[in-house]
Amino acid sequence: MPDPKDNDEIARLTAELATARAELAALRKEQESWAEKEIKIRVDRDRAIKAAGEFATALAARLRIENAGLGKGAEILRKRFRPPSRTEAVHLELIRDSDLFDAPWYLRAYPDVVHLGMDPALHFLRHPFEPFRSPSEHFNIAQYCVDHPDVLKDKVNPLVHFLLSPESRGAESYPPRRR
Amino acid sequence: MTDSTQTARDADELAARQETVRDFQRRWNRFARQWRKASQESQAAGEEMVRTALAQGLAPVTDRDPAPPPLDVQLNAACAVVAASGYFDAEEYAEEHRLRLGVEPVRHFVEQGWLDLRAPSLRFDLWSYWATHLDPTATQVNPLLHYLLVGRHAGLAPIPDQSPLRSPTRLEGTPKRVCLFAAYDRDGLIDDYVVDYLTELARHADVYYLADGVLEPGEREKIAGITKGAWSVPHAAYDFGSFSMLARDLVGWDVFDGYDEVILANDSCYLLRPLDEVFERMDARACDWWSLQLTSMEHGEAYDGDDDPIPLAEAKDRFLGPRKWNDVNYLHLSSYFLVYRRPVISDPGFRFRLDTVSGQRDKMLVVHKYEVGISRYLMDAGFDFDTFIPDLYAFHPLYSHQVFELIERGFPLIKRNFLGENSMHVLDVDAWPERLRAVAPDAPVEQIAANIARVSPGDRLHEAYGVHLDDAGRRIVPPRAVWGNALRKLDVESPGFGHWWAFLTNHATGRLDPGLRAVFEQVRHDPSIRKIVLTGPRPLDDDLAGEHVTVLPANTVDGQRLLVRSGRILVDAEPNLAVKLPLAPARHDFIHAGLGLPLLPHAVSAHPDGEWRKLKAMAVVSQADALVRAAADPDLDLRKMWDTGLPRHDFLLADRLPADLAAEESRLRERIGDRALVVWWVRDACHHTPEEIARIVAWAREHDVAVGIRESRVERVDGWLRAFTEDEHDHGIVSLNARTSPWTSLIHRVADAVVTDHAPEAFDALVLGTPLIRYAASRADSTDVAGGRVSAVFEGDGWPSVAHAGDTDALLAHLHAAADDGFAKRTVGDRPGVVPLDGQASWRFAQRLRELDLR
Repeated sequence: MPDPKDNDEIARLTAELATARAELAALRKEQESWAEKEIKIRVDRDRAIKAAGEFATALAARLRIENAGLGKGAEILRKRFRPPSRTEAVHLELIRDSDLFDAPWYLRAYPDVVHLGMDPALHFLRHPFEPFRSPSEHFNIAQYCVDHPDVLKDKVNPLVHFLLSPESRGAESYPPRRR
Repeated sequence: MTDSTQTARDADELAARQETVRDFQRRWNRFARQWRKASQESQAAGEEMVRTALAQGLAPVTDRDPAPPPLDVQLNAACAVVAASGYFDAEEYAEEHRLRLGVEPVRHFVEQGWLDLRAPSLRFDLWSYWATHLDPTATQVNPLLHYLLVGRHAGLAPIPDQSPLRSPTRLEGTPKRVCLFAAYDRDGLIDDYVVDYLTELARHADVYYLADGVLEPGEREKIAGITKGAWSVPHAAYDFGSFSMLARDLVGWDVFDGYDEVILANDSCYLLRPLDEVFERMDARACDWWSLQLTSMEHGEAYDGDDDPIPLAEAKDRFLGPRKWNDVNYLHLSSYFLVYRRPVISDPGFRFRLDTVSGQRDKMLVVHKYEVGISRYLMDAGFDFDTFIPDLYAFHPLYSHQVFELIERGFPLIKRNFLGENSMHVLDVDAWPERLRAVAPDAPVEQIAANIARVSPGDRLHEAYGVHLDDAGRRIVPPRAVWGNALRKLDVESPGFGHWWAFLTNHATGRLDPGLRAVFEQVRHDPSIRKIVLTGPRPLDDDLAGEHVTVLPANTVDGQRLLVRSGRILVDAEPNLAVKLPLAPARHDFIHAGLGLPLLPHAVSAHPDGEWRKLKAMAVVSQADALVRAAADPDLDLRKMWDTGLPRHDFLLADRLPADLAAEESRLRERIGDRALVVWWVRDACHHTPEEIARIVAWAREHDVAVGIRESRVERVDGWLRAFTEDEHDHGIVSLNARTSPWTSLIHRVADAVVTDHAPEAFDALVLGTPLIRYAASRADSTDVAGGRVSAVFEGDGWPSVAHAGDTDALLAHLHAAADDGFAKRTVGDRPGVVPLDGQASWRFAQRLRELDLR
C-alpha cells in the first residue's frame, strides 16, 4: 500500500511538470517565430553581401576597361554589342518608358548581365527566353507566354508584345491584380 | 492447364522467328567484322561496303558461326548503315523525341532509341515490323537493320499494308461472352469494388480472373461463385501479361471457340452502373471489335488548339493510316475494356501477338507494344471497330476534365488513377464524391473512397486534390517535393529546432516501426516537443493523435519544410529514406532506435554505402552489443552507443498497449483462436519442394498449429506464402505479411514459436523466451558459421538456447520437440552486463534525446 502522502506528492509533481512543459512549449513557440525571422534576415543579408561583392567586382572591371587604351576603353566596350536596329530602338524606348521594366531590379536579379556590361533594357529585349527573365517583379513572363503562346512561336519579346496590345492599357502588372 | 493447338502453333511460329533472328545475327556479325577491317583501311572502303550491303543485302552465312565483334564495332557499323539508308530522318528524330543538345541522333537510335520504340522516320514502322517478322519477346536485333540488310531484299514491307475494311460482324440472337479479367492489388486483396465489378460482368459473360501477384489466403473464395476460374501468379507484366497468360496457359484458346465475344477487362476502373445499356447498344452495332471510347493523344495535342470531341467516323478518317513519330499518337482502344468478336479471336496474327506478350522494363513499353500495338495491328488488318461513346474526345478523356461529362452521357466506369493521382491536374478533383453523385446517383462512392484511401500514396493524393483556381482565375498546382541541391538549399535556409522530432513511417507497412512508436508514446502528450510524422507510399495506419503532432506525406514540399526543421530524425531498422536525403548532419541528429544483439552471422557487417556515417547515436542492449556493432561497422564507434535498451522491447513486455495496438492484438488472437502460432519469419526465398512444404503443413495439422507467414517481399514467384498456399483451402496457414497484417512486436507477443533467419526478429523472440529455431535452409553458410560461435555469447549468460536447423529434417525434429513440450516459454535468466528489460527503455531513450539540447 503506497503512502497517501506519496500519492499527493506525485500528483503535485505531475501538475508541476505539466505546467513546466506548457511554459517550455510557449517559450519554444516564441523561439520558433524568432528563428524563422532571423533565418530570413540572414539569408537576405548573405544574398545582399554576395550581390554587393559581385557588383563591386563588375564595376571595378568596367572602370578599369573604360579607362584603359589611352582613354578609348569606353568606345571599345560599346563595340562589344551590336547596336540596336531601328525596330529595336523603338522597342527599347517602349520598354524603358514602361513601369513594367525595372532596370536596377533586373540587374540585381540577373547578376550575369552586370558582368556582361550590357545595357539591361537591351539585354532584356534580346534575351527574354531560355531562361525566362522577367523585366521586373510586376511582369510574370512565363505566365504571359502560357497565356499568349504566339510570342514563343513568333519569338517576340513578351513585354513588347504586351505593351503593343490593348491589354496593357492602364495595367500595372501582369497577371493583372484582382480588385 | 490446356494445351491448345493454337498455343503449339504459336510456339512453332516463335521458334521459326528465333531462327530468323539467329540467321540475321550470323550475317550481321560477319558483316560488322568485315566492315571494321575495311574502314580501318580507308573510310571510303567502309562506306563502299555499306552501300553494297544496302543495295544487295547480306548473303546468308552457311559455313560456320562468326563470333560477334565487340559491341562498339557493332554500334559503329549499325550507325553507318542506318545513316546511309535513307530511312532515318536525323533532324526530325532529334526534335520529335526531344533529344538533348549534343546527342547524336543516329547513335541514340542505334544504342537506345529502337529499344524504346522511337520511330526512326515515318517510312518505317518499328514495332509492326518487329512483331510481324522477328521475335517480339526478345530484344536482340534492331528491326530497322534487319529490314535494311535482309528484309527488304526478301520483299518485306517497311510499313504494314493497309488491308481494305472487312465487312463487319453482326451478332445474331443472344451472344455468348467470355471475359478475361486482369487484376493487381498491392495488398493481395480482392477489393469489394472488384467483387462487384466481377459480379456485374458475370451477368453478361463467363469470367476468368487472374491477379498479378500473390493473393492473401482466402481471398479467392470471395469470387469463387462468380468466376469460372480464378488464379494469382506474380508475373509483373501488367494487364496484358495477365490476358496473355489466361488465353495461353490457364483458359486456353480452344475454349474461346464457343463464344461470340471475348472481353478483356481490368481492375483499373470502378464500376458506376450496370453494363446492360452498354451491351444492349453494342450488340446492335456491326463491328469486329469494340470498346467504350477511343483515344488518340494526337487530338488536342496543341494546347491552344481545338479540343472539341470529333465524331467517330471523322476521327477514323483523320487519324487512321499514316505512321506517327510516337506510338501513343496512334488511334487506339484502351485495355481497361476491350471486346473482340469472332473474326478477331480466330485471327492468327492477333493470337500470336497476345500469346507472345512478355515482361517489359518500362510500363510505357507495355502500352506501346500491346495496348497500342494490338490496336493498330487490328486497324491495319482491316478489322472495323466501334465505340460506346460515339465521339473521339481529346487526350485521354478518362483522365481529363471531360470525365464527368462522359459519365453523364452513360459511361459506366471511372478510372482509379484519375481519382487517386489526377496526373492531368484537373481542377477540384477533391470534390469528386459530390460531382460523381450528381452525374451517377447510384455510384458506390463509399466503396471507391475506401479503396482510394487504402491504395493511394499520400503525396499523390496531396497533389491530386490540391489543384484549384486562385482568385485571379488561374489554375494552381501544388508544388512537388524538391531533391538534390534544391533540398540542400531548403535545408540550410531554414531554421532547425532540437525539439522537433521527425518520425518516418515504414514504407512496407505504412506505420511507425515498433522502436519509433515506443519513443513516440513517450512524448505523445508533451506540448513542448513537436512530433512530425512523415508518411511514405502507404497511408498512415496508426492512431497517433496527441499534443503537437503533425502528420504529412514525406514526399511533398510541406512535408520537407517540416523535415528540414527537425533537429532529431529517428531511424529504426534499416537506414530509411531520411538517412538517404541530402540533409546536413550538422543540422540534424540522426538517432537509431537500435537493432539488438546480432544473433545471426550475416546480419553483422558494415553497412554498404556508409549510410550509417550520419548516425549520431544508436540504442544498444549491452556492452557486448555496443562492441559488436562498433567493431562491425567503421562508421559506428563506442561513443555513439546509448545503453538505454531497445525502445521496441518495451512493447514486448508491456501489460498495457496503446488502444489501437491493443485492439489489433486482440484481432490477431481472434484469428489464431485456440491454436498455437508458429511464425515463419524467413527472409530468404523458398527453395523447398512441395513435399517438404507438405510435411511442414502436415506437422501443423497434427499439432493443431497455425503457421503464420511473414516475409519481406511477398510478390515473388519463390515466395513462402505462395508456396504454403498452393492448396488454397488450408486454413492452417495464416498470412502475417506486412502489407495487411500486424506489426512485428504484436506478432512476437502472440507467437508460440519463431522460425527465422532474420537477426532482429530472432533477438526479440529470445528476449521473450519464445522457442526459437534459427533456420537457414537455403544458405551455404548454414553449417559453417552457424550456432556455435554466436550461442557462445549467450550460453550460460542467462539467455535461453537457440535451436539451429539447416534442413527440413532438422527443422521438423525441432518443431516436433517444441510441440511436444507444449511450446513452453524458455526462462530468461539474469544476464550480466545487459540493460534490464524493465519496460523503461523508451523512457531512457527519450530522456537521452531531450538531453541532447543541454550539451
